[in-house]
Amino acid sequence: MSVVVPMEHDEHVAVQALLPWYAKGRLDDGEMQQVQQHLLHCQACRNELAAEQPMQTLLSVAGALPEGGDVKASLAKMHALMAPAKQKAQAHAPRWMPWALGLQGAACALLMGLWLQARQAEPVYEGLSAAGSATVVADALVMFKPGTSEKAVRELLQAQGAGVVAGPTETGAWLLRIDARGLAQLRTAPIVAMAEPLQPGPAR
Amino acid sequence: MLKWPSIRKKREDAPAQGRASATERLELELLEGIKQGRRAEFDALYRLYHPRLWRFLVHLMRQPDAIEEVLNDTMMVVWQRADSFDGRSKLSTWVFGIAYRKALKSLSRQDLPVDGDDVDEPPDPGPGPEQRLGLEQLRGRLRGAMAELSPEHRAVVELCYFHDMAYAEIADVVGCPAETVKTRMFYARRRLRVLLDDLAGSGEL
Repeated sequence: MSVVVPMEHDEHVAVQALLPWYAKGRLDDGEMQQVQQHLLHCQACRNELAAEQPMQTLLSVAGALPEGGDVKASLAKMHALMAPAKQKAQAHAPRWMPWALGLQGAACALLMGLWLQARQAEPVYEGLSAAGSATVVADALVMFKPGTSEKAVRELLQAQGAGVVAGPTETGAWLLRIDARGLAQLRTAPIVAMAEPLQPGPAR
Repeated sequence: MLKWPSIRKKREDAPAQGRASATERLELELLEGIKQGRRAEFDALYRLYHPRLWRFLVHLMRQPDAIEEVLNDTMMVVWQRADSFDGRSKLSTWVFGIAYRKALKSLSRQDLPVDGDDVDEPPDPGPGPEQRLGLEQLRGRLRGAMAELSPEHRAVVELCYFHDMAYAEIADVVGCPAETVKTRMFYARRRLRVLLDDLAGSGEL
């Protein structure tokens, strides 16, 4: 743990500790007023505030990372971790569980075969808010900028060959079926606020 | 511990649902999917958080090899224990809190000195104000200065300056009283001023 050096406490210390948040406007109204009142009559704390802006500029310039890690590679490792974690959770199952699971699997396979016969290769889609369905067959999560017209959205999706799987959600997000090239084009479109692939690796 | 005689803030214990941004609401929707075991939503949340957690852990840990492990350990908790998020704070506060505890645990396992004795000396900034520092030199100076701080102080600086968190939110992340966050910021900022003041005040930027 860090060592806190004993120090005479006074209002100057309290104000100076808040200056980073004051300079960013991240204090509530009461605190903002209290700091402002103190600064009016305290030259030392005004000097500290004057030093805060170049400090924030320095940190924002020098603190910007040249690279932020490889998301795809990290996510692939994450998926590898997730599978054993599930197996580990099953390791505490009773001894009869494998037999029960085997029977259950056989029954599921039988049912699945019957179901597939009854239903052709019709995709099952699921929205972000929907519950109960099995699989999300979508490639990307997309949000459009506020005020974008339905016509502009439709034209953009048609131009990129994108299909709407679900949406919009309450937050205006859409799940789309789209190929990698189309997704790249979406990201450059001025009406798109966010377009993130849902699956590791390139979209289909 | 410093006492804070006049500047006090009432903690906001109410959830921030009413004022949640579109991004926060989207994150909560994704979490609902994760609670139901849906990987697509998990992957989307992972992609949203990876860059933020990466940058948080880079300065906190200074151990490139361990960053990905801690990041994935953090997201594993999100995947396996999404139900334990009670909604009393932002989702980001919960996730960063997990990452913070995982990082400290990793650092303690490695038994690293907290005062940065293992870090190279920051490069000489040069003899005069005419010498312009390159971006890499600036980063080197910042890394060196951050390394002088304890992990607890680094976390407060990182979350305030680079993740724009209010001190009450930082207190939730690091699991300490808000007054402790202010104390850490006071000393961390004073140390950074000493270490970086020649840059911040030289007109180089």
